[in-house]
Amino acid sequence: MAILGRSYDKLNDERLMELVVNGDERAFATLYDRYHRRLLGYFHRMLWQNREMAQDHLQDLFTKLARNPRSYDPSRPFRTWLFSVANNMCKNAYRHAEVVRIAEKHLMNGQDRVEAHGGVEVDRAHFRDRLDAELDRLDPDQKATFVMRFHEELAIKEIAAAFGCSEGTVKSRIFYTLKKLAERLKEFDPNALMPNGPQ
Amino acid sequence: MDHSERYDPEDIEHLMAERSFAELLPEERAYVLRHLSGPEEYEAMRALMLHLKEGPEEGEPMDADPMVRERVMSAFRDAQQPRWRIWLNSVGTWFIPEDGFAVWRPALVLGTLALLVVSTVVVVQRMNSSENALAEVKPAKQLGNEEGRAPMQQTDTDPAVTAAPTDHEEKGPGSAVATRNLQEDVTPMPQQAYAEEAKPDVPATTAHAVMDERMATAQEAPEDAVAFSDAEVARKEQQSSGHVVTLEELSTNMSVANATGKVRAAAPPAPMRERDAGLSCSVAQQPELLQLVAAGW
Repeated sequence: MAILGRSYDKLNDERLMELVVNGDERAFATLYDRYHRRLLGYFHRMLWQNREMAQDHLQDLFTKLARNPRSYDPSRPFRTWLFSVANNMCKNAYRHAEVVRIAEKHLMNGQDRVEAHGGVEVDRAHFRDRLDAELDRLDPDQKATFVMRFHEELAIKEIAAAFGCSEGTVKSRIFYTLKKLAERLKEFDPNALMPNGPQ
Repeated sequence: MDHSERYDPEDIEHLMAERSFAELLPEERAYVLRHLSGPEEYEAMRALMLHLKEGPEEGEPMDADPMVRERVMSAFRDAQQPRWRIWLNSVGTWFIPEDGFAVWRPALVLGTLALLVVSTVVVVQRMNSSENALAEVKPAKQLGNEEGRAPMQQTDTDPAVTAAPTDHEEKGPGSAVATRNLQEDVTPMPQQAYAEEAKPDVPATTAHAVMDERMATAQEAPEDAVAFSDAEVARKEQQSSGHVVTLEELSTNMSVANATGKVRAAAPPAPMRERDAGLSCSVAQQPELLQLVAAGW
């Protein structure tokens, strides 16, 4: 088998993990380059937009993968398994943090920004901050489901596999999360953010 | 909620992503309104979802610190090393520590201890070897300088040996020679005795004949001053701390005397020496003696 840079990029995740199990360093580097941005963004959203904490979790995740690649179940899609591990790490982080206090801090920052802008013209960055703050107030499973669905663009089936629950549960979570966020962000009049405005 | 209806929020999400409330079919509106309060809520949720899907990712970290990648790859390389190499690295670090000062003290102690042990063993071995010395060869001149030495040491188990010095001092030089011969006879010489038993076919007859001839010759020779001096030598030998084996005795296979049962006559060995001088004192030049020596030893 020709071992070239191009061929490594064309291999799927499961094939790369087989090579990683055999000690292929280039395969492991390819997997890292392929997923480190997405995972960093996921950790960043899940861990209160703390970049340092997100990088630490990213390093911990790939270090665990490097030391124990056989923990990956080849019967499952690698991306699903990866986000499952990331989700579990975030749950552990929640257990050791005061979620409400941190979320209130972010919420206070968001309200200050709303007052500064007068609630008339709301830029997307401000809305994003408010959205993140509201996500921090959610239940960890709801938040994780929402982030996986709308930020990581995982399918319902993949999210269900990552959580180890049914697809109906995932759908229900997404629906009620959307409903709750829409209610909390009502003052921002989301219809005004649409390029064409409300119809 | 109608339990027969399949609650499928994904369908609502799908509708929200594609169409506004006004664009929904009547059946779809009815279905949506079963789960939502009204079209306003539908529109709010739809706007939020569209914003999330289509909005640019702002303020999000795209790349991690390069050091994170280095640490991760380093962890992978370390995990690929075999366990014995990891163990071996620790052994090398133990022998060649970065902080050598922390190791030199115990190393010095251990080295000193080892030196003490080795030196003690060497000293003890040397002491034992000196105690186990059986005999030494001394020239005749040295024997004359050994006057006033303590009486010969005696073994407690051999009364004949114990009694010898006392008898010699009282009786005279002749008896000293006889006593000395007696001592030679009774002095245990296990190696020669064992050799004698092991090799019965030792060609001792030839040696016996030679020695007998010598003895006979010595007996014929009158006692003279040399013999008398030899007796004095024997006496002084007894006075010395130990039995001094002469060259003649070394060249003589004592097993001959033991086998024949003959006690060497008091005839002084001096003539024998004079006669033997011409024959050379070297045992190597007398094959018969060599054979006897080889058999005995």
